[in-house]
Amino acid sequence: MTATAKRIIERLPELQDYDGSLSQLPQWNHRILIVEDETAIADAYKDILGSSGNVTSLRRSSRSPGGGAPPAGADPGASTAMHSTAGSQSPPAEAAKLPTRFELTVVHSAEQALAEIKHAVKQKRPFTMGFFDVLLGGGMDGIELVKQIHEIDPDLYAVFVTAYSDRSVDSIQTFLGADHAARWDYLNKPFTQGEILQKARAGVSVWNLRREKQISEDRLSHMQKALLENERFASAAAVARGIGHEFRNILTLITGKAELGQRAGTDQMKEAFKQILLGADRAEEILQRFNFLYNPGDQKIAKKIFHAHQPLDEALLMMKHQLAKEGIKVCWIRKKPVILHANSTALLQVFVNLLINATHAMTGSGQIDLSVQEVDGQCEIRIRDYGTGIDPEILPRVTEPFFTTKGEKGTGLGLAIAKEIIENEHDGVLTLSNHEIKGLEVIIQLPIHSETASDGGQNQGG
Amino acid sequence: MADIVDGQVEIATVSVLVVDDDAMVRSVLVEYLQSFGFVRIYDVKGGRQAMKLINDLSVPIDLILADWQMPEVDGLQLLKLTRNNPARKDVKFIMITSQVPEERIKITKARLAGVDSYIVKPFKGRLLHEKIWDVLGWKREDDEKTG
Repeated sequence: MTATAKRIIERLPELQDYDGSLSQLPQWNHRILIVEDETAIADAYKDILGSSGNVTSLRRSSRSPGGGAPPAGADPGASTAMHSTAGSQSPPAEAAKLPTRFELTVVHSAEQALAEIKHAVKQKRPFTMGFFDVLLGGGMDGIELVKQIHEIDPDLYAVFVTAYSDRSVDSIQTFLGADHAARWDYLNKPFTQGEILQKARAGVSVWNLRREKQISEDRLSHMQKALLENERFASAAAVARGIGHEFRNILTLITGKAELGQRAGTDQMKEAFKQILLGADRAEEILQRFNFLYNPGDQKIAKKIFHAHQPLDEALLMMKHQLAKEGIKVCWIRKKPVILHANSTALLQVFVNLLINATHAMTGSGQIDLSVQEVDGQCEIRIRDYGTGIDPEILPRVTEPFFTTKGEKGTGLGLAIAKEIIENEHDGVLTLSNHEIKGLEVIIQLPIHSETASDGGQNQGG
Repeated sequence: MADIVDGQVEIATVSVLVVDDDAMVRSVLVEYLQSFGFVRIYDVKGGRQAMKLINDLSVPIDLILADWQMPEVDGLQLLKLTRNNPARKDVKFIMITSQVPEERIKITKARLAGVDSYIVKPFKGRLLHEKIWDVLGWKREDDEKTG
């Protein structure tokens, strides 16, 4: 299962339409830096981009803003004021994402710009992009400035605003290096309002979309790691439990026969049986040492309160492409939400395993029925496929570790892990049965979260 | 058997049902029971066969020794079936498990379902004897010695 799950997880889309619990993405960042030494042009930027947003302007003489005091000439606290007050001025919610309003910071020299950038990075409020006048008074020009900025904040998107005569595109490219080409653009003076506005919108959008993609990828990779970690833990438990069961049966035979045999026989045989019994005792002691592998209730199974359908949604999302590729439809019946006190990663693991099995059971096309509902005070989750079902002869054995019907494709641990998680980590019941008409139905019963369950959970932690 | 307090006649009339899917374990259990003096012993390899015997009221059953972990019908299901049958609800029930006692959830579940005692594999004859005598309310020879 491990390899399959990993492959599927790796093939995941970018989670753009992901509506699970991991979907909360941060607010868009609208910060733009303007570096322009001519007051009239700086004012033009403010008119174009700052009319509906907020503007922080640095006076020519002002020094580094990093010292804590608001820069002289700046509108003090402007950035917070814009967001927290002025309900009537706030844009409607759907407009918040559209970069039509910006948070401008206007500076007049390269030194001021570098100080602002450092401060912004330090405060974790980076700029998305900047407009850079190429010819700045003083030693450094706009292009050299951007080269230095990219060493501090490589994600900043730079737009050089220049007269034809200043620097050619090729010379900028040569100076910044070819691998920087995606991080800058170029605009000729005199510019139009539309050019500036659209460059600003595009720059802010690109920065935020890239960040959202990165966050989704990070979360996915985190989820994948958690799943693999969880799988290792659950498979160790399932294997230890299975081996423990077998060995305890064998030891019962050895102990029993030796003990019964001791009562008859010669002295020599009695001595031999005694040694065998001592050996069996030692074997049992060794088995005891492995108990920790399948002793649930410790910190490894951190439980939280959530809706039962959430890990199923996540599992479906992870399997989305696989299901689409195989032409499998999903019929999802949700009734009243059911609240669980459980480990959502572990349940996600169970559902991914079961969905993979369901997918393997059907070739070409098919359907998977899912439902979550409360039945007799328990949470009942049903996952049914329309495949061939399982031979009733082997059905009772399919949750045993290393039992597989998939030949070399399967590890024989998928269902053993699912059973381990449901029955031993969550005190639930996992039942597999052939549906009377067609396919296999997996029924999972889990205790519903209640006030007492919540108290119990908190006490467990202490 | 020397360690039997109650008479031979009494123990010979006690019917014991042994359920374990593992033939080795079953044979050891039966041998132990015979060594204790039991005569009426039914041994079956699975929960389904055990269910048939439990539901067939013409079969006398006084004590059930059942493995917990069995395919299809497991020990807990058998226990519940026994307790839900008015004619069988007082039958003594000892769960034999390969689970470790640390798994309190399971033990608690069995307690709630009305198990009389449980025993963890592997076990010695002495412990088995003790548990059986306890649930049947018989006096053990040990008690007389120590008491």
